[in-house]
Amino acid sequence: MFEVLVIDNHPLIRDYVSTLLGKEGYSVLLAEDGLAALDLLKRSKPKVIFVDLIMPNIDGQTFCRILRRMPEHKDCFLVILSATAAESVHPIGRDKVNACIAKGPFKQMGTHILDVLELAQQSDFKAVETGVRGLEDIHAREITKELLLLKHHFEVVLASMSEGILEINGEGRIVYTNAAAMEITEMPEERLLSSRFLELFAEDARSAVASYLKEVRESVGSPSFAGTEIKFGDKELELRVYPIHDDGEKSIALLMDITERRRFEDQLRRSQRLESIGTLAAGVAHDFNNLLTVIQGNADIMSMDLQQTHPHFERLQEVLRQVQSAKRLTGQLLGYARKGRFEVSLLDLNQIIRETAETFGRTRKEISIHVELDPELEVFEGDAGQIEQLVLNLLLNAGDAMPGQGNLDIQTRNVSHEEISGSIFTPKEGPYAMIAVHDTGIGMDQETRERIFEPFFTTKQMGRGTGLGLASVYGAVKGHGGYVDVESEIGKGTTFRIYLPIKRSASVEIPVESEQDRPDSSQPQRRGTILLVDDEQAVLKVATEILRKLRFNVLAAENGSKALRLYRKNRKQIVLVILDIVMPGMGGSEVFRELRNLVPEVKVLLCSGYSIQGEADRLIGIGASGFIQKPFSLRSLEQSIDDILQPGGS
Amino acid sequence: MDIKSLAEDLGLEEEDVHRLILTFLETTEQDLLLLNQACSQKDAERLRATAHHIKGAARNLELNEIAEAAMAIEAKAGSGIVEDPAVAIQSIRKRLELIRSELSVQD
Repeated sequence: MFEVLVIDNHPLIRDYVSTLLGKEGYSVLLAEDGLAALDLLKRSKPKVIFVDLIMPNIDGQTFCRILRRMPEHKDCFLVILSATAAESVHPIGRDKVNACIAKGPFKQMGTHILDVLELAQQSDFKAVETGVRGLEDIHAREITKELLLLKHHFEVVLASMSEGILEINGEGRIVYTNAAAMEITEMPEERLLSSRFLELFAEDARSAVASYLKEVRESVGSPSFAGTEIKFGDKELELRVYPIHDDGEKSIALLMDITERRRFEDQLRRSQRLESIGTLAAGVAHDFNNLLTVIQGNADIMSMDLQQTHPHFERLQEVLRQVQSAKRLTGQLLGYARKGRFEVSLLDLNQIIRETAETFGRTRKEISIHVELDPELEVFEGDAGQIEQLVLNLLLNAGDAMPGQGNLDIQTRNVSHEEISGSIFTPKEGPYAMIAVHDTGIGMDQETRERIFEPFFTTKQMGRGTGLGLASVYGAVKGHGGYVDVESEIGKGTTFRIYLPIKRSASVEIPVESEQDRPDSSQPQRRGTILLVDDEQAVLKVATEILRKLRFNVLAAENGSKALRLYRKNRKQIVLVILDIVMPGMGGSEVFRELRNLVPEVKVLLCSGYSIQGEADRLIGIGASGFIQKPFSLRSLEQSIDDILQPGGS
Repeated sequence: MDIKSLAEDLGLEEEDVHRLILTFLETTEQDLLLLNQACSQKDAERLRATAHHIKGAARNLELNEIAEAAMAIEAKAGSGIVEDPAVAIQSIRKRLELIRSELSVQD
């Protein structure tokens, strides 16, 4: 005789069936529910199993499903022994069970059990019956039917939930899982059920889960108990556990996969951080530009007054050269903060890359450069200066990552937004020009990768890098409405991909600037009075001197209201107003509006330590004549004034 | 309750049947306590499940009066009604007492 397993939560059934079968010489194993049965099956291999359908812990339906997925028990003869088996269609696929017996009076039930065992042996445990034995022995089952429908309804609801749901018994073992929990844990039902809940988690996360469970147990009566975040492989999960206080020590665990949400939150936090650093950087650049204006102005004036043979002349030229270097730095800061001067034209990106790569190649001959440019690359509308700087910074960065030899691959390609959708950002719809720069250098770890676009972040030795190169790349890309993606691993090199949005407008052509288009400033007409408005006394002082050198009369005002007063008094003599945009109290915009109210055709040259973007752009849009960025040289100021005052000027 | 004829019907020894009946008495007593508990906690589902448990076991032993009383509780609780099952419990308990005394007589 062989082993028979009886699974039923009622002691009476277990007692009866084991007595009956024992008398017939069968060896009988007993289990009070599906969980206990699964434990038993780890060490036994019964030929026939009688299983009830409705049981605590793992129910009969789930048990049957799992059993059929266990290769070592796949030939087991499975018999449903249940009151609910009497219903017309029981919820287990008939192909999964060999026979069904409806529970009823022991006399008839015992006969059916013995008959089924006989059938099993005669068919070599292969027979499959479609009917239900014992239906004639039982009374109406309407209530059971309702119960089944209700159970089915809840199962449909649970199966359709996106949150993973696990039921955990008093021993901490899983006795129910819905589909979402299997998907989240990437474990099949047969592996999840009967597993210990804590053992689902890796060693390092287990203690956090255990202390959370302890906290939950101690928080009885606190309905708003919060969840906890747990690392699960490469996923981030939010775990909430709800004890069922009415039902022994059971609890329900809710698992939510928050990996994507966390990724977007991190991305958002990084963007906000870069944005706030940008604001700070722009503020610093603005203040430095004011200081540089004063240094440059004074040095310019002194240079004009000195003969080239004067012993201090060359020193002054050095001061001016250093001012230019400092100006480049503040320019990069403003570029990062997307507050740099922005002049849009149609650009041939391939041409820019070819020329920049050529220049770079001359300085780093040991690096082998491969350029693969798409001849069909779309023309891009952007700021030439910024894009050139962007490409150069990428190449310099790649070069720095390869102190000895290495390969540098530069590629351009037209891509659509769909092709870049897999990245951490979601690009706006439309075509993009992609610039990819790949180096075979040292690569970066995750921490470095996350910070490379921050200004002043550098991995280079003190004095070797400003930490502004990639920051200005980021600023320039963002300023052009594009995206930047970086892929890097220690020892495996780095790839930067820049995606710049293409605006298709057939009417725009690449403007070609000719020598004749440039104003001839060799013999400018410089007459009249200029009203100079700036809240910085030092700027006011040096600019006044420069303007006087340029043979203008100067009226200086350190605030808006004084400027308006002076303008009202002297409007006939004033040929131009040079107006600082950012001033305390009445700002440049308000002064400009008042001036336009007084004389609509007033000529105003705006200036700022910030940039043309934003307020200056807006004021030019409503009639301001031009903009000059601080710090400015005597010559560039002269040029700007001439551009405005020449006949036909703005 | 005639243990001898029941044992013959079931093809078991009298002592087996005796033990089965004792098991029934014991589990049903526990279930009656659970019925009271579920009722005081206004837990219709538990009330229904426990009554269902009693009904099934009573039917196994063809104790139809107990099965009918349990079914009445199950029916009401199944429709979400939590009603004090004191009367039904009382009736079941009477039957259990009767069985117990019959057992002791037959002993």
